[in-house]
Amino acid sequence: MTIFGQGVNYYAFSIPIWFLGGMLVLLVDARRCKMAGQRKDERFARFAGWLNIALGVIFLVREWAV
Amino acid sequence: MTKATRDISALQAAAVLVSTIIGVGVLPLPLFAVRAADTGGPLVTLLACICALVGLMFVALLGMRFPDESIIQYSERLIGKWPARAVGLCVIVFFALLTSLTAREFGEVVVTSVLKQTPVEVTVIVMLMLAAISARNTMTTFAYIHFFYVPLLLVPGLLIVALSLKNAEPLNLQPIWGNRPGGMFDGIVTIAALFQGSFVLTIVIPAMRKPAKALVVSLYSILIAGGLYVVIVIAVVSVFGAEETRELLWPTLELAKATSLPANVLERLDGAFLAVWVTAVFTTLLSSYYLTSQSLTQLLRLQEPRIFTFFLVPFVFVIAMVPANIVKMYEAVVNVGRIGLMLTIAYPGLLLLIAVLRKKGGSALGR
Amino acid sequence: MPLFGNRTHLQSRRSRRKKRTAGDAGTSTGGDGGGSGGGPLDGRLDELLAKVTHVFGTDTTLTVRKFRIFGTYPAAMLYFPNMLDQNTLNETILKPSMSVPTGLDPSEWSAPELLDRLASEALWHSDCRRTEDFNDLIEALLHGDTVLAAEGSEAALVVGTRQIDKRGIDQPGTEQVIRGPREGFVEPLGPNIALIRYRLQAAELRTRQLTIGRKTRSKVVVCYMEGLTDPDLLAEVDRRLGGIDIDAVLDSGYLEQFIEDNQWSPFPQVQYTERPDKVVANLLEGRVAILVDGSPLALIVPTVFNQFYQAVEDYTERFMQMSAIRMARLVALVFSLVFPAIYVSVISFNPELIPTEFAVAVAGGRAGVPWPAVVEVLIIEISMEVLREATIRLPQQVGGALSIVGVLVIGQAAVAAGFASPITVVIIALTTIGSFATPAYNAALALRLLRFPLIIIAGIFGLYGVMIGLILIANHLLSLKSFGVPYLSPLVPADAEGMKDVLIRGPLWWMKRRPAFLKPKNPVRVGSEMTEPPETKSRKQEGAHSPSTEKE
Repeated sequence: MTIFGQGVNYYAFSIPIWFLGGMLVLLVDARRCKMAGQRKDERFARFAGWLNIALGVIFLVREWAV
Repeated sequence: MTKATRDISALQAAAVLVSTIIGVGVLPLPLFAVRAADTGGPLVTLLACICALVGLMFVALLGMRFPDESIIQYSERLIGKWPARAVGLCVIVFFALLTSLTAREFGEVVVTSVLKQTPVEVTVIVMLMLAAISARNTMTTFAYIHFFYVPLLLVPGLLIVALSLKNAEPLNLQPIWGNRPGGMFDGIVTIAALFQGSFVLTIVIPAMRKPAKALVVSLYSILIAGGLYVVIVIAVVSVFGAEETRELLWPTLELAKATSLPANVLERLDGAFLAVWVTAVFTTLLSSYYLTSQSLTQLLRLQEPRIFTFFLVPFVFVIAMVPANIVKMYEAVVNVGRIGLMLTIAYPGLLLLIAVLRKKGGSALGR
Repeated sequence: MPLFGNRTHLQSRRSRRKKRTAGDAGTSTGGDGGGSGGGPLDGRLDELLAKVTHVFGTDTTLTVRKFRIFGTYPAAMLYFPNMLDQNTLNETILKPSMSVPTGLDPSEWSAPELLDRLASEALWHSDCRRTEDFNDLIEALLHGDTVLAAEGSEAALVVGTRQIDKRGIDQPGTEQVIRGPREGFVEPLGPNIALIRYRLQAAELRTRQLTIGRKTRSKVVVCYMEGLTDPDLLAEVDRRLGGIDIDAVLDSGYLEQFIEDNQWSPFPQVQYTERPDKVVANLLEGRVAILVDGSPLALIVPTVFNQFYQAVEDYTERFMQMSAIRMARLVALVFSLVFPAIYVSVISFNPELIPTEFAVAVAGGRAGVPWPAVVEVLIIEISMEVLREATIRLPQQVGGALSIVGVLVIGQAAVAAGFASPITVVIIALTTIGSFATPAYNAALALRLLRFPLIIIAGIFGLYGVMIGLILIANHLLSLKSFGVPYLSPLVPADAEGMKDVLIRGPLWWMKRRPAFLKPKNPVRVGSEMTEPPETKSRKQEGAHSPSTEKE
């Protein structure tokens, strides 16, 4: 698969990274923002964490489908 | 973490800039220089330093006019909210790209010369995680980290260069202008792009104890880092000669391999050199990653930059793995670098002009 | 040992504490004596005695001695006999209370003022105070004091008769010196404070007392120099100590774990010592010392990293020699951390770094070993740690010989059996000895533990991995703070004056200022006009004189 006209090395490797990144954001940062009472930050952190996990799922599906 | 304290001395700020600039570009630098202008390599490097200095001075002057804000914040005052946000987003994306390309370049070097059986993804992700974890600190700790590592970069660097000169042949450096001065402009642009990490100055100035010193700081930083770059190119070209250097992908590494400590105490210093170079890349990566997460926080009007440190890692990693091989990667490095120069030199210049014309901004001398 | 309270527990208690009104730091209000409630005494002796015996239940050591003061007024003396000297009791309290002193006419004393007049005119003890609170009375009894109560008096007398057997002042076991005082702290608080006071006979030395620990009621004393120590530091120390709500404080180490900045860091952020001279030196730099009754180890805050390789002899001996030795100590410290990891990475990934002649010997030694270098090093390291733990607990007589024999024999046998190569054993031995060279046990512990992850990373990634590991450790050190002071001061942030004591030990007449990172209110040490030692000055002045007059 090509992106920007260049081949891509190895997508599958990034799947655990997506999940790890998402989980770390949710478990560490969102919790800390909640305790510190920074609501806007907390909402964004949750959004960011779930986005990471969602992208990880998309990549995972892509691996199985292709 | 969210409270801004002004704790960074001028010396620490200079250390931040120097260690950021000295990074992964040190390895292919002589190749770029020689590809552009043959034996005019050192001259090209020198001119590129001056170019980078000009760009950095724009940033410093802007920072001195708005000593409490970073570029994301004061650009809104100068060119309006939405244009500034758009360009700010470009800056952030650019630095995220820079981070990924730096990490990838680093991974390729390690995999090619040291850990030949490790997949490049592993080295890249390890380095990215290291930078991400370290980017979760306050500005003060960030400055301490750079201040701590700077001697570790400069001393071995200068040592290896000094020792290598024993094999040097001054005739290799002539003619100084090089045989094909036409390629000089390209060379200057490519090499000046290696200094772009210094843009981190825009978030350092709001944390400096005396922002008025920002100009002096930028001058000395480019002097030291650029001086090291020029000296490295001189050493490589004088030891290997311009034609031979064109064949080497990482001439600086070859220089370290060819050098040995007096009395043959240690041979093939490249293993040790790589160990030191890991630190150099780490500081550069830390700076660009830190700049990305801090700027993103400011753009989105949030308070906690730590949210982004783990969030961005997968994105940066995927982008880092996009180029299929080293050749494609270096093409990307050169192209992205050139576009980046618009953002890091032309944009601050434009902002400065607008600031002067609209008579905006105060003087930092009062602090 | 039952111990409750971790940091989050501490924080929630702290917030609950804020909602209570006043009460000074650490003292717990509210009855702890079995729900008997506090409150004033009401003058009826028998009821008081019944209340006290009710509080102590079936305890058989409490002694109640009933008598009549001056033969007329009914009174009682309560005490725990093992916590005091019976002679003192007899001579200074009982005897003067029973026989009428000459020149006094007690018949005109009324019941309420009886005890006060007794204290001020008859008793011969120097430490008498009155109390009107029942809980205070119980606490005093538990402390080892004697309580004197009389019929009709709404107050009781508390006489400070506490005397507990203590061991003699001896050389501290963990901090031996060749040149320097041999006194170490003992367990009771009184002699310890005396040891500090006689060394630091300055009026600015202040000792502030707190009580921490619900059941142990341990006395904790905070020592500092008024006018020298940063008031913010003091406030922070008070705040952290005040937030401790725990059953028992059995050692200063318990306090350390509550007041340190980062419990997850392997590096200690509070220094401890058994030596009074070290405490005095740190107090004079602007630090705060915390002593706990029952523990011979005093805590010193704030701490920076370079204190962990400084020793007392550094200052008592001459500067050039001790600078060299200090650097050797620093090298040993660094070695104890990275040596095995570098060995593993060089052997496994970068053998070209070894000079050729030596490489042959190394390869030969490793020839028969069945497993990779990482595993070999880890096995020997772990055995070394086990051996080390074992030798601490061996009884005195067996300990010394067994440890040497154990190390030698096991090492040799391991090599002969083919488990390990001789080089590995040498390297591990050097590493272990290097870790003993670190004067501070808690810092040596930190480096000992960090060695293992480094070895594992070195086995996976080689020299590159070692660098990553070292960068991680360095970054952690750079972000660590101890009571607001960056851990790597005076290296980072740079402090020119402080640098004179980091790598080398600058001559005493160079070190005119106290460390800036402690923010002392009086940064100049007294006597800073002295720029060079006296002989050189006089030698210069007498330059024109003939040599024979020099020795005046």
